Amino acid sequence: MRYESPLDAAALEDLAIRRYFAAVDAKDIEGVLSCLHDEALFTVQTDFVCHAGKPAIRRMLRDYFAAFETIVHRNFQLCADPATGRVAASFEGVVTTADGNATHLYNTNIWRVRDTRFQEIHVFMSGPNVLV
Amino acid sequence: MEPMTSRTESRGERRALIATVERFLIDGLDAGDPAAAGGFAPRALLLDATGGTVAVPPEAWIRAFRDVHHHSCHGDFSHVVDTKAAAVCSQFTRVSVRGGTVMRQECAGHFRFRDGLIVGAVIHASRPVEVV
Repeated sequence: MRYESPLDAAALEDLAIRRYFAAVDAKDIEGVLSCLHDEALFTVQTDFVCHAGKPAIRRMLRDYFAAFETIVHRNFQLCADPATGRVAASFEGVVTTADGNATHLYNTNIWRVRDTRFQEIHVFMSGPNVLV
Repeated sequence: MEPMTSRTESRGERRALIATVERFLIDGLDAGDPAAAGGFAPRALLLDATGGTVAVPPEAWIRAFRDVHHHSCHGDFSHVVDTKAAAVCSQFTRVSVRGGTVMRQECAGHFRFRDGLIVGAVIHASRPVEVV
């Protein structure tokens, strides 16, 4: 599915990294949800899991943020495509529990943008799914 | 045998980047043509993020892939193309025969280019599910 979006490459990068991931790492649920359409689809492609719509995504985020003391995403390799309204990133994710157990993931996200917000988020994880 | 997969239609700079990626997946992995690895720079790195292995050169990855997947078909391509960053992030489906069973995987590949050749690739693949 291809959607229409007026965002240029810099705006797509801003939405994906400085708004979306900044909010995830700050455990800011409202900040994350502000990047999404109400009927957004969030799929973890490597685990065949789909969270459909903001209420389901909110529940997933609440559990995710509660499960880990710190969440860090870094070392982004960006790919922004304004012609198709898509942006992708490969990156390192480090999630650490309250007792200090850290899990390192090397993931790829592909976002499809409709208008100025995400309509679809496709996540490919290198390890166990933490977005359940 | 000529692969049956439909290739993506595109123009200009996008065309060359997409064609190189699809040549690797369709002609290299599906048809077993080692010349498809010619799309890679000599010191290219290919990381299987799911398996955690690095293959250099990519011909080794093609051989290893075909040892596991007897007959494969990569298709349903969706590409995120960043001509300024010389990168393509591709989402695709893999159907293959493993141990006599037809399996499906949802995959992503993040390819980075220099001078028209792939210098780095990160591949993610879901757990295989049986096609019934």
